[in-house]
Amino acid sequence: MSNYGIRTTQNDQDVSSNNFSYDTTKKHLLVDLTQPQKQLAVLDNFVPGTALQLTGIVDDYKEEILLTIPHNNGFRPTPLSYYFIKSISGDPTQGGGYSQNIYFFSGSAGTFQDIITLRTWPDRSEFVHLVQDFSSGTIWSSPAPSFLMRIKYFIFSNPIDRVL
Amino acid sequence: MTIIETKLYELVNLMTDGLEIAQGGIDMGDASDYQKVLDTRWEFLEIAAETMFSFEGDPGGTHLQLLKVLDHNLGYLPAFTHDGVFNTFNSIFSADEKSIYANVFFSVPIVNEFIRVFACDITAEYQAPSTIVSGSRLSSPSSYGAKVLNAHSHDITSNNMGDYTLNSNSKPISLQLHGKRSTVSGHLAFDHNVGYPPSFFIAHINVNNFTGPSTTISAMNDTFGFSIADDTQITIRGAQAGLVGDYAVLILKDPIEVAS
Repeated sequence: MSNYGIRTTQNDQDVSSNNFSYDTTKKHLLVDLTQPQKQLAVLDNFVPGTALQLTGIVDDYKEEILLTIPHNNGFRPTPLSYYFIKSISGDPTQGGGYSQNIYFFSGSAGTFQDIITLRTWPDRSEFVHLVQDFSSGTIWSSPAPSFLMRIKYFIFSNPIDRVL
Repeated sequence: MTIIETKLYELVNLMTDGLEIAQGGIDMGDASDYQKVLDTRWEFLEIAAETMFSFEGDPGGTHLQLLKVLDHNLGYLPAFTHDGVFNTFNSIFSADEKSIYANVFFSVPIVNEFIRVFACDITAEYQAPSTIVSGSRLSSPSSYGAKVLNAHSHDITSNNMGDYTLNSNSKPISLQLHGKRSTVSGHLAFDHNVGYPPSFFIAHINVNNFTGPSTTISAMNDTFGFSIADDTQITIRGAQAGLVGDYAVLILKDPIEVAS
């Protein structure tokens, strides 16, 4: 722990209260705005995948990488993403609504899942669409290509694969 | 002694009773609330504790096990997140006023789950003032501004944002609102009054659950359902079933459809 830095309090609170609004001796989530590839962005009119299929094979798993975002952190950064449904099959009245970190096209515990999410690696982040069977032998064809999304993502320069 | 020369930078503004710093490339007068890397009038998401958690699994076991992950000792139900396990349907982690716990199934191993606890009393009522809700300019990296290194870092010229705890070429997470809200008829609806659809987290508050006769809170990045957000209100409905009970909500100053 460093004894150097800046500590601020909110209005009418003395610094001796230890109730700081910002304390630079503590770590904060930060998105790096200087990286060549945007680590904070909105993706509009995003088609979230193809019709990935489960064919009844127990524990079947298929995935497709929809977008790769390189970074130079050297560790797995922290992802945060929001998925807004603009339309389904071209019909905006079927859209609306945000989902955080994962959007479920379908699925349930114990059967299968069909999702889009953002995952990170030491040199890149990826939007991935996947279908996964949970020992149920489900037969399924993903409706993902009929969706149109607007996605906002944050990729924080804070690792999730090590404690600094 | 002058510690900040405001004449050189319009990025920094010493208010009558506080300090604000804008992101790079934006004059203070043009910066929206969400384009500030520091404003002493509101809270920022500060990291209180982090750890990696693994569980080898117990193939011979036949029941759920409650394991302690770490002691945070904050004295309140904290906002916290987990990353790593690809578990989309079950809330594994919970927190009480002292510790983080994992409720693990006997046969399912967990490998290197990353737990991050924030110094944020998420069930306590808090609302920041809203001053400028829309930015007239986008931020852009600048060689002018402010930066402060993390305790473990020593190179102020570092190009790794992970070495900093404050940097005007970054996007920090500033908070608009947090507090406890109750569900009604399977929905969670609440006012945020931020002036645009904001980014958000919610966490389920559990009463008398597996940790015993105590109140705990789930991770705020578990998946709960879908939300409808407008300029004044957020409504959240469950993905598979109606929401029940109480939730803690955390609203960010960041718009959900603007990136700057």
